[in-house]
Amino acid sequence: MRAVRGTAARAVATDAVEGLGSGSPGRPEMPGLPGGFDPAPRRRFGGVDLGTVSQTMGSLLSLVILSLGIWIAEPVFMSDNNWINIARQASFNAILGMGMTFVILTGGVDLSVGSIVAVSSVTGGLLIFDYGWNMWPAVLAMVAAGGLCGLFNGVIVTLGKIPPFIVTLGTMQIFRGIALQLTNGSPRAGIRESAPNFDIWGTRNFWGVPSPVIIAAVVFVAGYLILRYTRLGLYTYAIGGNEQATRFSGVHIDRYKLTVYTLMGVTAGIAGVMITSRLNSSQPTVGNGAELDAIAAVVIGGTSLFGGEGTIVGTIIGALLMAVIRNGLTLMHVSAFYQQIVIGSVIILAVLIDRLRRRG
Amino acid sequence: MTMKRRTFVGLSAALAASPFLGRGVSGAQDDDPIDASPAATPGGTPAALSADDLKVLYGPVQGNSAYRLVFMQVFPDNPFWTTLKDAVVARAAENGVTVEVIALPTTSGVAEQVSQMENAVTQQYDGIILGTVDAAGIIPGITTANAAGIPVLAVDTAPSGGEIISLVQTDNALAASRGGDVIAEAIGGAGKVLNLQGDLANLNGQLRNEGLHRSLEAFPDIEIIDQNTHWQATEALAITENILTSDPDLVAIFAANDPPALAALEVCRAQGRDDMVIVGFDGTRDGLQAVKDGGLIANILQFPDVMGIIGVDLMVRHLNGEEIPATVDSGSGVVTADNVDEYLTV
Repeated sequence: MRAVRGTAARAVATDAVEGLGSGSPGRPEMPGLPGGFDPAPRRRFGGVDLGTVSQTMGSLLSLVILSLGIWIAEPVFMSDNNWINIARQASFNAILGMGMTFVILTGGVDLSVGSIVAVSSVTGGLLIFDYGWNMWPAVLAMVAAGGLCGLFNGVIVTLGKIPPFIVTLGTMQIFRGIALQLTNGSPRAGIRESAPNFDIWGTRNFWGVPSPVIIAAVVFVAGYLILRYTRLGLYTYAIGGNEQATRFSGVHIDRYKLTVYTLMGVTAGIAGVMITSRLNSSQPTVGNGAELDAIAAVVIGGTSLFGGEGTIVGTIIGALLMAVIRNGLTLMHVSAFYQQIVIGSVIILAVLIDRLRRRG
Repeated sequence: MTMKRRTFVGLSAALAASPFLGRGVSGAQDDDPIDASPAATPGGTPAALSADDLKVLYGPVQGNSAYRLVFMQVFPDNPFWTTLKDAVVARAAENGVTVEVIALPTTSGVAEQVSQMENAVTQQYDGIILGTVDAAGIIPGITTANAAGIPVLAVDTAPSGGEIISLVQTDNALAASRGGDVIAEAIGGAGKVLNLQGDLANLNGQLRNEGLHRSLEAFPDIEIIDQNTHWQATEALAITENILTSDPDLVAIFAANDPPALAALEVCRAQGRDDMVIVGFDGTRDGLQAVKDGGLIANILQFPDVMGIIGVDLMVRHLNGEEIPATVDSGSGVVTADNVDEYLTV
C-alpha cells in the first residue's frame, strides 16, 4: 500500500492543521468531508502546491540539462526546425500519456491503449476506403471507436471488480485482434487521397505549428481544466489517494472510473486519428508498444503509479524528455539498441530522484 | 545446422533447375551447390522475368491421397505472411490436399509456437509447413515432429537446427543488395544513404542489412547511416525527420520493409524533399503503388506467393515419395516504374 500523503483521511487532518480551510480556490468541495478536500495537500504557499511544483521542476531541469548536453554534441539540435520535429514526435506519446495520467491517478493502468490506437486507425481505414465516408464523420467515428474501447475497459474494471492491469492486459490482445481481423492484417495507404483534408490531423502546419502539437495542446488544456476545476478531477485524485475513504464519503466512484477509462479511450482514438494522418495510411499494427511509452512518460513526469499524486504538466515534460532523447541520439547516429538502454535508465533515474527528493 | 545451406540464386538459376523437376532434383543440386555470395551472382535481370514461371516449377501436383497438412503462420498482421498463407491455402486446394492454418499471434513468442507445433504433432498431420519467428527457438518443435516422423518444410526463415525436408526462401541478402545497387546507380555512387533497418534480432533483418552494406560499401563515397525501425512505420517517421535534420545532404533511403519506406516517403514529401531516392522492400500493394506514383524509385519484391506454392508442391511431392531439393530460392525482383504494372494487377 502506498504510504505517501494524499489519503483522504490525512488530507482532512493536514488541511485542519495548516488551517487553510476550504482547499485551493476554484476547487469543488467533496460531499461528506468537512472543510473541503485537496488531492495533494502538502506544504502550500499562496495556494500553490510546492511539492508538485518541485517535482515538475525536477523533470523540467533534467530536460534542460539533457538538451544542453545534446546541443553541445550536435549543434543542429537547437535549430527551430528540430524543436518543431521534437514537438511533433512527442505529441503522439503526450496525448496518450495525458489520458494515462488520469487512469494512473486513480491507481489504475491501461495496457490496451496501443491496441486502441490501432482500432481507431483501422476504423478510419474501413469507413473511408470501404464505405466511402468523408473525413469529418470518419474522424468522429475513429474517436468514438476509441471511446467505446475505453468504456469497455471501464465497465469490466468497475462491474467485474477485476484489477485494471489484468483487464487491460486482456483487452490489449482483444482490441489488437479486432484491428487485425477487420483488415486481414493489411495496411491501407492513401487516406488523404480518398478522404480529402485528412492530412490536417497529422502532416499540416497551422500558423507554423504542426497539427499534432496543436491537438496535444488542446488535449492538454482540456485535461488540465478537468483535473483542476471539476468534480471528475477531484475524484480522480481522491480515488487514487484512498478508494475506500472516497467510497465511504458517498462518491459513486464507479461512475468516475468509467469516465476516466472512457477518456483514456478517447485520447487513444485521437492519437489514432493523428498517427493515421501522419502515416497517410490505416495500419492494424500501429501503436505496438505505445502503452509502455505512455506509462513511461507519466512516470518520468512524477506521477505515482500507486495513484493519487501527479500532474498532467509532468506528463508533458516526460513525453518531451523521451522525444528529446530519441531525437538527440538519432541526430548523433546512435544505434537504436543504445537508445533503449538510455530511455530505460532515464525512467529508473526519474523515479529514483523523486524518491530521494521525498526523503530529503 | 544439420542441413548444409544451398541456394539457387535468383530467378534465372531457379529456372535453370526446371529440367531437373521431380526425382533426382536434389541429387543434381548436391553435385553443384551454388554459393549465394554476390560474386557468384552474375547480376541477371530477374525483374524482367515473371514469377509465374516459378509458380509452375514444381506443380501443381496431385497428392496420392488427401494429405492433411498444417501451415504454421507467423506475423498474421503482416501483408507478406497474409499473401503467403493465401497462396498455401489456394495451392493446397489445387493439389487436392487439405491445409490447416495455425497462426501465431504477433504478441506471442517462439515458446508459444513450439507449443503449437507440439499440438500439430499430436493431431498427426501428414506434413508441417513452417514459418517461424525464431530460427533457434523453434528447434524443439521441429525435433518433436522429427521424432513423430512428420516431415517439416520451412518457408522464409531457415531453422538453425532439426531435420527439415526442404527450405524455400528468398535470398534476403542478395535481394537487399539489389536494392543497394539501384540506389548506388541512382545517386551516382556518392552521398549519404539512410538505412532503415528491420529488427536486427531477426535473421532476415540481419541479412537485409548485410546485403545492403555489401552493395553500398563497394562505393567509397557513399556513407551509410544505420537506424533501426524494428519494422515499424511509426519509428521510421521520427528517424527520417531527425536524420533529415542532422544530415540535410541525405540523398537516398533504403528500408528493409515497406511500411517504413512509405513513412519515410511521407516525411520527405512533407519537407519538400521530393528528390529523395527511396527504395522499399517486400512489394506490398501500397509499396508497389508508391513505385507507380513515383514516390519510391524501386521496390524489392519477394514472392511470398511463390514461396507458399513451392512449399505446398514440394511437401506433396515428398509425401508422394519423390526426392525434393534441399533448398529453393523463391526469387526476388527489382520493381521499378518500368515494370510495376506487371505486379500491380492483383
